[in-house]
Amino acid sequence: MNSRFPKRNSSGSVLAELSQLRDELRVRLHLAGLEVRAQWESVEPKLLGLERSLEQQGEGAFEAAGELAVEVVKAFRDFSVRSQEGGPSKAPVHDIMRVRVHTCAPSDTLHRAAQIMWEKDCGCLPVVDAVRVVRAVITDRDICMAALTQGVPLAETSVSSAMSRSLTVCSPDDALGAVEDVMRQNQIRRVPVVDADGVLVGMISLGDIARYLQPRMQQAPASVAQLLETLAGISEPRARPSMPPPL
Amino acid sequence: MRIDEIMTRNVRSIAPDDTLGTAAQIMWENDCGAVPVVEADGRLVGIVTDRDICMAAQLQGAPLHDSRVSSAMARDVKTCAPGDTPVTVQAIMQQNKIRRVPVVDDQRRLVGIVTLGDFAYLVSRNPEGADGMTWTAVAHTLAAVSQPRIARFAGGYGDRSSGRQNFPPNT
Repeated sequence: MNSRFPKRNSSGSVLAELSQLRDELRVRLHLAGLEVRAQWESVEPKLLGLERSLEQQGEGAFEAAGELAVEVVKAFRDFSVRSQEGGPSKAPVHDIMRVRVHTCAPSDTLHRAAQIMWEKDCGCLPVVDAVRVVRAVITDRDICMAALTQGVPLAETSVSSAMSRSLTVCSPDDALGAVEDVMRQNQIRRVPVVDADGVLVGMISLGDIARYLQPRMQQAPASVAQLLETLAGISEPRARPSMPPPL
Repeated sequence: MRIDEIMTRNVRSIAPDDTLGTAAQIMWENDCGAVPVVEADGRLVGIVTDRDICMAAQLQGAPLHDSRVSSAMARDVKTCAPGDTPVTVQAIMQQNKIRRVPVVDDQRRLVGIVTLGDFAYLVSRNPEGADGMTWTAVAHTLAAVSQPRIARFAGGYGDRSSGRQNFPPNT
């Protein structure tokens, strides 16, 4: 499924794939409804601007290109989602997940993991091995509790000492509703998305789902109800921690 | 409906001079991610989260029992009153992109805390709408609080547009 996304190895190939996508979108526009056309009108100027900046600045504009490319690809996917039967809960994870995911390695220090979380404004990193197979996740809370139990500076302890012992993942082809079930059952807000080999392809959070549903709320009240059930379920106090309290 | 009908009472709090180790211990024991910081007279002066502790440990490079709560807490805390309506408090969360709001009396003494999860629970149990609170309003708030707080690609220890503006603290 990686092939569905613009390749990230060079701005040139992103540009080529974007142009191809754009042409395909224009063809399909003739068949699409007003709502989809309005959406396209908001995306098209960004795409044109992106092409221009890629041509002028080359690799320097690559970071921005990645984000915009994802936006365009998502807009593209909306066409198929809207033309299919079933509400947003049936939408596959790869429509909603984030593909720009920051990671850390089991051997990294907690100092390094916390630094990534600070710089990238995220609270959860998948822990991956050398071939990007997901081994665990680590959250800012895990680091906080490791700092408490281990009583040493973060630079002196490793990710592997604090990362989750169990791992919950989902597939890019899973339905949104199924991932929410997983979040509710495990009381987690973020789930790594992996391919058949366990390789990281994205990350999906309850917040991502909320933002995805936002423009679709009027048409899909059942999906909103499910979202709130999930939030309420995640927020329930957990059963007492099975590990003894620290200190 | 008043917020004190749905808020959590008897919230564990902490003093500014306590250590981050004590704060983390409270979070562990209560399975919570935030502890309000109050002076001896009960006045709310800040709030500290598990994320704040993680980041303070990273920036300060010291064990948690060597750092004071006051070095990591957020001081600009958005609060509400016990008599506020859920709709009002929900708007505070949405505007400030926060998921927890301490409830204080007119002396700014801590009386409780209310979270977005409380609202989700409330409207989930009241499908017809709970006193003006709607499913979509809560879902919009969830979307808002989940927005990244820093501009993409800003990099480094840059400004934050909202929320934890005072972090890193005291620098």
